[in-house]
Amino acid sequence: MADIRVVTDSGADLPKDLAAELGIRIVPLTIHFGDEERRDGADLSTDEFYRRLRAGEMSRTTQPAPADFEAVYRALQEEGADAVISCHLSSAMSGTMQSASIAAQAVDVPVHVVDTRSASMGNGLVAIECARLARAGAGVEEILARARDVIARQRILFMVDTLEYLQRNGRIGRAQAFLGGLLNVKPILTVEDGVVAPLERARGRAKAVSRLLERMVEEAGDTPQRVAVMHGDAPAEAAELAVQIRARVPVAELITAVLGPTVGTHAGPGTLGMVFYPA
Amino acid sequence: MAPRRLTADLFVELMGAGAAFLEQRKETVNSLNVFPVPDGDTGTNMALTLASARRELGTAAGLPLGQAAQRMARGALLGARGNSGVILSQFLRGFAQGMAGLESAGPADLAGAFAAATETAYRAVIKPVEGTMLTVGRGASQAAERAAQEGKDLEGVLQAAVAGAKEALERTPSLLPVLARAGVVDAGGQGLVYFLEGILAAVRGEAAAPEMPSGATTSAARILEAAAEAAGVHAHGPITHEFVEHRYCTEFLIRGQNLDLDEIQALLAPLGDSLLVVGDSELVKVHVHTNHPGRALEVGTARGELLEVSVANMQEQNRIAAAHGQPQDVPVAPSQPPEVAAGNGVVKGIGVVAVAQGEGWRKLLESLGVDQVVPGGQTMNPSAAELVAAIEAVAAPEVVVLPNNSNIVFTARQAVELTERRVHVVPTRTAAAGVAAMMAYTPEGDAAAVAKTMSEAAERVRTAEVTYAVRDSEAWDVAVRAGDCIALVGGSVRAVAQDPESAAMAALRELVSDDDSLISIYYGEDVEPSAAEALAEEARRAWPDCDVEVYAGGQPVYYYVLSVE
Repeated sequence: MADIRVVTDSGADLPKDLAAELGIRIVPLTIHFGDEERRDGADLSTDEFYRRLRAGEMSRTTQPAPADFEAVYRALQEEGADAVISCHLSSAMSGTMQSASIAAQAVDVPVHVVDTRSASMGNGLVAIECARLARAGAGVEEILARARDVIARQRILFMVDTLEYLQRNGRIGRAQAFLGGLLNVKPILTVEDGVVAPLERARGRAKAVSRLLERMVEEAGDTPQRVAVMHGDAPAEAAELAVQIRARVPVAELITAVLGPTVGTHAGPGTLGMVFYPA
Repeated sequence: MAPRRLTADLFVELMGAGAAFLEQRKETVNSLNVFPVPDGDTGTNMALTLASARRELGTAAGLPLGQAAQRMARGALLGARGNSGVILSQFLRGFAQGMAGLESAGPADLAGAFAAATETAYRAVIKPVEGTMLTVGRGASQAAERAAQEGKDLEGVLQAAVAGAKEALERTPSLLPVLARAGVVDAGGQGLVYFLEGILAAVRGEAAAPEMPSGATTSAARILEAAAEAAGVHAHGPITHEFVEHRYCTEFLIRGQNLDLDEIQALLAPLGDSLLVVGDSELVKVHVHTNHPGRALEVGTARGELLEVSVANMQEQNRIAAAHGQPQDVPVAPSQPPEVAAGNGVVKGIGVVAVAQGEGWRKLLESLGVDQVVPGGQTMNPSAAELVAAIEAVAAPEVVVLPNNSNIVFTARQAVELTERRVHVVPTRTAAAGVAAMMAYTPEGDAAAVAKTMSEAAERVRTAEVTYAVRDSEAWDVAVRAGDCIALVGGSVRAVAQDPESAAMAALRELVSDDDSLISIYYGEDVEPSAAEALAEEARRAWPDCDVEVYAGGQPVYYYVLSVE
């Protein structure tokens, strides 16, 4: 059986224990507070990140250098990997794919770089699926085919507390249409064609959360779903949303993830959403 | 001697006579409102629709009758205002179709055109309701057909049509209970009767007579009296006698070539306020409130030819409105020219036109992505042509229209037929429902699907409006006295109180359920912000689980627009 390993980046928001359990390697993006440089998950915790964001500090992200990927790919090669599947943030949102692709050409082990066309657990669920198939002994082609299938079928829905973070960091995409309201309005967004796209608006948080749920119920139908619930430092709301989802949608699996500094920089505190696809 | 055949020349004369007859009686028609609220405008809308028909008809010298009738019908379609105006324009369209190809018309042709008019009007209405103008029109056409079969001449056919229309008008209260309870006949039907009476008088060679008592005027006179009284007793009515900063409401069309909207806008902006410049490189509509109407017009004449020039003295209008106890046509700042879609210069796929009255509403709707806000509402229904101008000023291939008033929904549907743009009407009945619809708006995607989700979003909110009664009424479950504050929910009076805030609380008690999480209060121009905030506090105490948000709508006549969701 070929030894196939899975790599992703810190923009996948994979829970650490799950990543460890499945042997998924995570390459961190760099988070900047002014001149200060920190590495997501390595020397910057999610708690510290949100504390500083709420205190009014502004963060930026930069993609990993090709050398960061190269180091990870070489390490896996030395551990005996026959092939690497490297799943990353949408190439329309981040240069992470670019760095990974450059690194892939510099190493001997075959590296297959996958553009997940999504972010957060939209990236993470693809990595999880690949890692499980690899563990089950699937070949590279079968794993890549499954990755493409999940990417095509998964749906991401999320609300942000404010569009300010997406706008400030240039990731607002087509959701710019929702900027500038005089009312207390929460945007409900998705990712389409690899970029953020607007779905609807809701008058206030409570209504936004209930619209997220209603949309999911409508789209999921009666088919059991693999689900990830994501939040930007809003654990109580995420837990309540998970309860509601389990009550109204057939759930094959539900993972709760917190948006780490990488995605948190762009979505901001108070973001809440879900990714799902038919199991 | 009575005319033997209807020619284009005679047609022009008769249209003029009918329109003038109705024009003189439009206040009577306005007063025949089933709601005791200050928004009766059926007569005004019908008169304006006929005025537009006459303008387009012109002198029609030397034209065959069929072509003259076509012109007249086009003018009616373009100028149609309010439900009554739209239905009238459909009658006139059918009438013109009945006359198509004719050089002149005899009695049978005339009766045939009446029948075509009735048929077209019924077809145009999605759910025809008996006891309305439709019933009256059918009364006229059926009587006209009988008269023609009996060999009557033109005058005889017209006389029968008038008699048939009047008879049908008297039946309207028995067909529509709401009319009976309000003690009135159908206003649109009365307008149609007046129009036909004016035509008959002209055929008989009678000068347009001063208003004569007819089936409806007795009650109408009583209602007018009550209205005047209400305006007197009501301390904070919508009428202001205050100085109008810019006195002349000046409107005109410029027809030319390579017209530059931005340039025209820049030249007119220093002359006054409430500036609206919409249109395209060949036809531009200008609306401005200014003390220098002459200078505004010269901006037009320097660039093309002027059409449809109207200069109205708003100070005088206010004075007359105050004297008659009718609400004024409150000046509303119009929308800005269409922006290239938000931010990065991306052109929108779907634009939005909304109708609203009040500066606050304009800002709220524009902040939600509405491209063009057409001033209008209860007391000022925009014409189909105004909606078309706004639709065509939006920089998007598909346009969603939010009429935000039940009396404008039909006009919006009419506008769809008058433009090449693909237009989708989301039939919102209040501006608050328009806000709800905008929650589901996205500037891209399948426009029909977006319009559908916008309709669904609008239906998820319940709305109420608070105004005052202009007359006594026993028509509802509650007795209403002139001057009372009343709350309207879904077209009926649901609460009566002595002050607007109490009426608003009563309406909210009807609307709010356990599932609701948000109450929105949009206050009008006659409400102090502190009064609105006090109302909000009371609502927060009554429904601690609901968020209560307060916004300045700035609408005239209606103290509060409320929504619950």
